Amino acid sequence: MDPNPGPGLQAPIRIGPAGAQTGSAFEQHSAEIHGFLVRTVRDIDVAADLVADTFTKMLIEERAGRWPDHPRAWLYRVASNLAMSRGRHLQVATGVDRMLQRRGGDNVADSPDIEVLRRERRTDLDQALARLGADARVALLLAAQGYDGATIAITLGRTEASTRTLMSRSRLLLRDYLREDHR
Amino acid sequence: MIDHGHALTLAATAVDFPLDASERAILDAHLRDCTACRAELAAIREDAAHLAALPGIRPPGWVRKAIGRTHRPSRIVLLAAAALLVTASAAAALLVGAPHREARNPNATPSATGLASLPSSVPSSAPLDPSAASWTSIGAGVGGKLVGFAGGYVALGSGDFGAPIAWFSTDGRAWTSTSLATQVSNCPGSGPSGTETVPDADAAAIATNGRQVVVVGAENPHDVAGCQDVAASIRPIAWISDDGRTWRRSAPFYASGPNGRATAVWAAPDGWEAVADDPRAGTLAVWHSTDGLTWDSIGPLAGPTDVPDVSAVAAAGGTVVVSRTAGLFVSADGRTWSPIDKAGGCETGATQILAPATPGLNAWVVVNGSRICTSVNLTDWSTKEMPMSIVSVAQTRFGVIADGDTCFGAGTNCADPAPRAYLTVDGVSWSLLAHPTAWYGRALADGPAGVLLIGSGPDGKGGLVSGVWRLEP
Repeated sequence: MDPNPGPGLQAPIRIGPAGAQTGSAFEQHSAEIHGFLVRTVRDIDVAADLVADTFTKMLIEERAGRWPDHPRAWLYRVASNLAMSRGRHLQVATGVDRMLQRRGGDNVADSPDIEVLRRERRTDLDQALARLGADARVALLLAAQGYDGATIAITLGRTEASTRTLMSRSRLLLRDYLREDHR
Repeated sequence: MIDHGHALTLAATAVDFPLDASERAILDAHLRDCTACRAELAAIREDAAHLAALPGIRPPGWVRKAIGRTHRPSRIVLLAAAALLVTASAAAALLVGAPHREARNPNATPSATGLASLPSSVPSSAPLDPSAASWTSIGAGVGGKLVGFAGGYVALGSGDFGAPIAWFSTDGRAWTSTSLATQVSNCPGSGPSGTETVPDADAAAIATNGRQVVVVGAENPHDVAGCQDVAASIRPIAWISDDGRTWRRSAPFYASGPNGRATAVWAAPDGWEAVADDPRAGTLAVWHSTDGLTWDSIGPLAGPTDVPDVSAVAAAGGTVVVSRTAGLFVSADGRTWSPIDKAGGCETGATQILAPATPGLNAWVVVNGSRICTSVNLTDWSTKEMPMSIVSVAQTRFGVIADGDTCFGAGTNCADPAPRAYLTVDGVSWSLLAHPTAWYGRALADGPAGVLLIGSGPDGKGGLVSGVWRLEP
């Protein structure tokens, strides 16, 4: 392709004919999905992998003509499932936090978003969140995105009753951890 | 009356689930008489609000390119490989001994790209025929941010736990690595086992004046005091090397106070300047050093004072241009800053900046997504919308080379998924260059052995392998 068709031409980035909706969804939601995953799996590389996997699944849906009615909710559900599945396989340890705090690599060290994350990593809230289990983090972070308990239960693959117990315990634990940090 | 524990469980439940009538009545009755429980409920709701206020985090640039690629290797696998590399490099560092300590006055010629001080043996900057140019695979096993200087090339990469690694090569073929950090015991109770070792520093940026190379970042010694007060244990630091092999490490920019990091660095007429936190001013500041080892804050950086959001910086002849979320800013001395209100559509969101260079393009280059804005005087701008998302740009002896990807979001459905490179000699017209089969982590630099591109490409077995390619005119 010739990039010099004439002055002032604002050629859009080319997007494949069957990838336009996924491309648009990526523009709209990738940052929040990535933020959700980083805080859930607590490893920036795993989170980035899962973002790619999540949007790849969306691209597959788009190609198959099954575009979700609610793309944002669909993305959170897929991302949650991937995060919990990955967490169960890898048993991501809390010690990975330090890797997250300190890792600097290509496309990472110079990102202002990552620097924001580094600052966040120093907060009591983040440290308290890290002490919860993966399912609990997913539940509280989904709730923070506005999802109700029933929806979170479906996403977690739990009964509503067990999700209710999980979330109430998690909120109380989070409060305890924050209180400890302030002592 | 229910006990406090039952009441708090109901209160926490009510944040996410509706209570039935009896539960609601019980809780309300308890809260009426229990000041502590009311306070606890308020705190739980406040925690929920804080979680909801956490910002989004843009994923790395490679993520979008990876969508739809079914054979994408796991980054975890790549990290494991990096861990092996850093282990080897740490051992090598022990074998060759500690970096020498003597100080010297660099008395260097400032150049943002290092081109000005290339030795005379470097091939001339004769015009390149873009249609005839090609890339030759000459090496492998290196990645990171790449600079070229008189002594060769340095790639700043990272290993396990973000350990900074400086890869050096004179010719792009053979690379040696130096770990810039020392492995120290982790803080008790931290990490997977609590007994592993971790690097005592990480790196964020690299720059050259053509004769020396400086890296900036932060140190976290994990000592007793630091482990007890993690909010005041991280300090900005720098490393400097005359030859790319041996590195001297600076003292922390400041001795005590809140955590801080150095995130950007450039060559100044009388030494070096860097962006780092300044706890005394409570702001992001510009720091100056004549030798790369001792640093002094010379004033606040333009823009917001509390967000370390420097996304790109370049300098030449004492003029510095920096990109922040709030826009582009320029300074003639690192102390006084002015906004660049108009930059051809690249005013905000710029991710890369190049300074004018000779040989090369005598113009400032600002990259914003797929857009490239160029200006000789930072007042009059030319804008080009490239048919690709730009991954890296570099000043070279042939002109500015921009490297990018043509497909976003389309994955394997994209009709033309290969990465692209373009060359400009005037900042306005761009000519297509050949491109090696490198998908990820690409970086370009000119140096003694020519223009190199490093990155990772397919290994033919469904995975990736890092490579080094040289541009052949």
